[in-house]
Amino acid sequence: MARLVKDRQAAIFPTASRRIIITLVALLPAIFFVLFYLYPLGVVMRMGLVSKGWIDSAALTEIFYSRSLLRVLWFTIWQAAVSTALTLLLAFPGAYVLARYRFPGKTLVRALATLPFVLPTVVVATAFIALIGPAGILNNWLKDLFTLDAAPIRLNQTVWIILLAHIFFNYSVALRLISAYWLNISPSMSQAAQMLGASPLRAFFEVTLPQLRPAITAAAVLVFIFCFTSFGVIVILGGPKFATLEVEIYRQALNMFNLPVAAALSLWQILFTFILMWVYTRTQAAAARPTKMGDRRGIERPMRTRREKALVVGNLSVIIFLIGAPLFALTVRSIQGQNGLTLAYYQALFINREDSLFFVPPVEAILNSVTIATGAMLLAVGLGLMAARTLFEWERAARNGVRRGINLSTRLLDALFMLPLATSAVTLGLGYLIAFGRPPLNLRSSILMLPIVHAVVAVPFVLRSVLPGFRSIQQSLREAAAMLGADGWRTWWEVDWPLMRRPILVAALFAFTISLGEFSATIFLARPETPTLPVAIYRFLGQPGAMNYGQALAMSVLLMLVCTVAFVAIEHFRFSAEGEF
Amino acid sequence: MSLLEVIAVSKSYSLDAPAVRDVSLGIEDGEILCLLGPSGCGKTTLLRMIAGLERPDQGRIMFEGRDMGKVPPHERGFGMMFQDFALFPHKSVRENVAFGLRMQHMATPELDRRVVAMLELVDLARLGERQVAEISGGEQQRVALARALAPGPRLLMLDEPLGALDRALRERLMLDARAILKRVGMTAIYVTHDQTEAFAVGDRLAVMNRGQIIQVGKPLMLYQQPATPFVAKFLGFQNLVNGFVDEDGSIVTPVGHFRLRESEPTPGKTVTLLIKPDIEAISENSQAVPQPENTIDGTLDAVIFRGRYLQVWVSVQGYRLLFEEYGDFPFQPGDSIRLTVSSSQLLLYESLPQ
Repeated sequence: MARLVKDRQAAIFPTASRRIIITLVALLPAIFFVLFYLYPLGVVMRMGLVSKGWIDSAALTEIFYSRSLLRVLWFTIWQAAVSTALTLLLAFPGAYVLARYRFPGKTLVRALATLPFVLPTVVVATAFIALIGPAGILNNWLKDLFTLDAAPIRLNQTVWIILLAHIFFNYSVALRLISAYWLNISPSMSQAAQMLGASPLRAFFEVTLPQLRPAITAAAVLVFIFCFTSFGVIVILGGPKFATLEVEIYRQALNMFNLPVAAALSLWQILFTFILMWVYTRTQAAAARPTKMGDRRGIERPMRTRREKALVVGNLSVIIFLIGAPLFALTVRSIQGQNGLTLAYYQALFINREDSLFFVPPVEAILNSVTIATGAMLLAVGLGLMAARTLFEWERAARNGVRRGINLSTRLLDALFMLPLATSAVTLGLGYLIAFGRPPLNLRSSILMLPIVHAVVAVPFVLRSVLPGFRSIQQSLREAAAMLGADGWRTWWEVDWPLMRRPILVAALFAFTISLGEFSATIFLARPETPTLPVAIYRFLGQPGAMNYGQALAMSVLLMLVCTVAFVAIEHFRFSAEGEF
Repeated sequence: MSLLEVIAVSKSYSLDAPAVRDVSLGIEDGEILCLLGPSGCGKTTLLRMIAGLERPDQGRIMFEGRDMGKVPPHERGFGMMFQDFALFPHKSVRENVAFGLRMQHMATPELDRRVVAMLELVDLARLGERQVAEISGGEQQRVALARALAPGPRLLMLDEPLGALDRALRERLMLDARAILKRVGMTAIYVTHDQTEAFAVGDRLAVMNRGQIIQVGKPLMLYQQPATPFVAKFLGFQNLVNGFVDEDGSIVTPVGHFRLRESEPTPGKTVTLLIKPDIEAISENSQAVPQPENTIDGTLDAVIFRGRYLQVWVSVQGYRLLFEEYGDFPFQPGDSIRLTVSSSQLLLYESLPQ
């Protein structure tokens, strides 16, 4: 009992050494955040705004005087708008089917529909090339079927393939957001409208659609942000003809060495995405408002009429073809040589060919990626846990009224840690390139650069996974354990750890896959002799010859497999079933 | 001919367990009919078929002599109150009540007047501009009722309208609901699983079990003459014992021998006996006198004070029987007692061949 009192006193009145640890836990993530997020961003800002010691808006306004830059801005906006519209149009009926009908294999279909969200852009781009590219399986089949000489489908390096890939990517986001919300709307709403004399169509427009609006807006804004900042898809599928702001920043910086213009474009980009992200957070808060849950049993129902069956089957076909076909094509094409099935592309990954672009075999890119991803994962999970712990303690202090005014700062901090989510990785890459390529902090040739930038990108995901875990451990549980005779360490082992294990695992998987697939920042920072997997895929795709092409496919398949396994594990272990991005 | 006639309606979602089996039912103009039954007995499915929200596999639903089979729900002119109220969360209380009137293209001044009248009917005139989420559960229930009544439906269906509320609120609202329905002369079907609610609200009751209607009748008739052991149990009767009919026509059961007043049961039949909870006499069990007919010898288990009466639990041969005692009660738990019951308190059911 005396021990218990002492423990509680220790919790309430921290000793000096405890206080140091607590401060350190709070400080470390903050230092990391300032140094590796705010500082490079500040450097970009300075470069875009300040010239020869004066504030100079010349670079900033150049976008409005340059025809080519205006064209980039226009293309960025309209392709994002069209992609968003098409995605929502396609995902809306799909969301209805997922929310309302019961059918065999539903769990599998839902998983398939969510998969694209975790797939790296490079994999998706490669998959589309494998499906409808000049040497893709569709064109090969058509050529064989009609004995044609040239590929009949010529979508590569057109805007169509870009839009298709964007739909592929974002279909799952829209589907998940809208169907999760739809599931919360009781079917009796629409039935009540019908009982009051509204036709089914009228009931949909007057009752169902207005209630879905928060989810639709949130989905639209999020998809728009993703397409607005699209990079990998444009670079790989669009070719040199197409450029979004993101791509233009990259080209200005690395091809034309025009850092001030790149920085100015980044500023515009940040402004746009922050505004959009703010809108998203607002709508998301509205969409997340808990609606009264009815009986879920009555919501999902089997299909009965022929029309219902057609609706379900139609949408399932969309999901299977849209998402399944490219991934299937990628896998099949990677084992398809000129003389039938072969593993030659995979075997070639271990060989350092003379005509190869690198002086190292591709397998080393794989090793690099795994090493970097492990480092990024450890960094992100460690820092994320510390940040979550601090945020949680502050939240509790605010709730208990220990310190006033802390509530606001907690929310502010929470938002601050989420900022990297709204910052394009290309901007971050540019910032690192400028900030850490010179003294005082020259990391240009350091192996730490990539794990650090990947960790910055991953920390918001880690926080989102871990914070609910912390919140789930009520103080009363610890007190109950203490009253039953568990000491401090034992309490942690028996109560905290079992409850935190899954969220931490999910966070680690998130961080690992994010780092593994990260392309936009990496392409700025990876050194030529130590490429990561996505960079290697990109470079191999850019080279002529069936062997280079095949190796890119083989690497993409490997990357896809790793991400799929991680995704399945995340879905299995995640804290709540609700989709949260 | 009744206003609404349900004729031999069946519906099944899966082959092995039909939701509604060959149900026929009539409802008179201005009557409140309660569909009473345990959850999953098919009462909600039957209601939804009448509403047009589900399509019967077999049978017909006639309203004013017209077959409703091909009429979609929004053209039937029926009203429905849902268990979760289904109030539109994006509309105010006023807009919710006005919805059905707008669907009838009612002109604005008349519509406004009607909405106010409806809100006054349920005593909520001051809450018109509130959002649905801002009012209490009991108020939501009354808004839902006002909304369903506003368009002047020819038939109102209520699907467990008090199910989402807590007990104390229910007691009060079930009387309010009946009063309001009667004031506007509404014909209504009221679905519930609570017999107190059904007795309080319904002019007539229809007890359902496993997709079939077991008994239809006025509340008092049902209470006095439950048609089957299931109905008896569902209406709250506790004391059902199995037995058989002896040569002399008396009923032999583990708890004693009984003789009914009027009926002459066939000897040899296996039967179920319902013993109603009223006791004629109670005495100490001396074991000296052989047990006469219509008495029960047992051990007093518990006596529970219920205010106006005592609840008396008695153990006999593995049965736990429940009685109500209004007078003095000098016994302690553990005492051996002999209860005498009146033959008018006995009901006999012939067991169905299994």
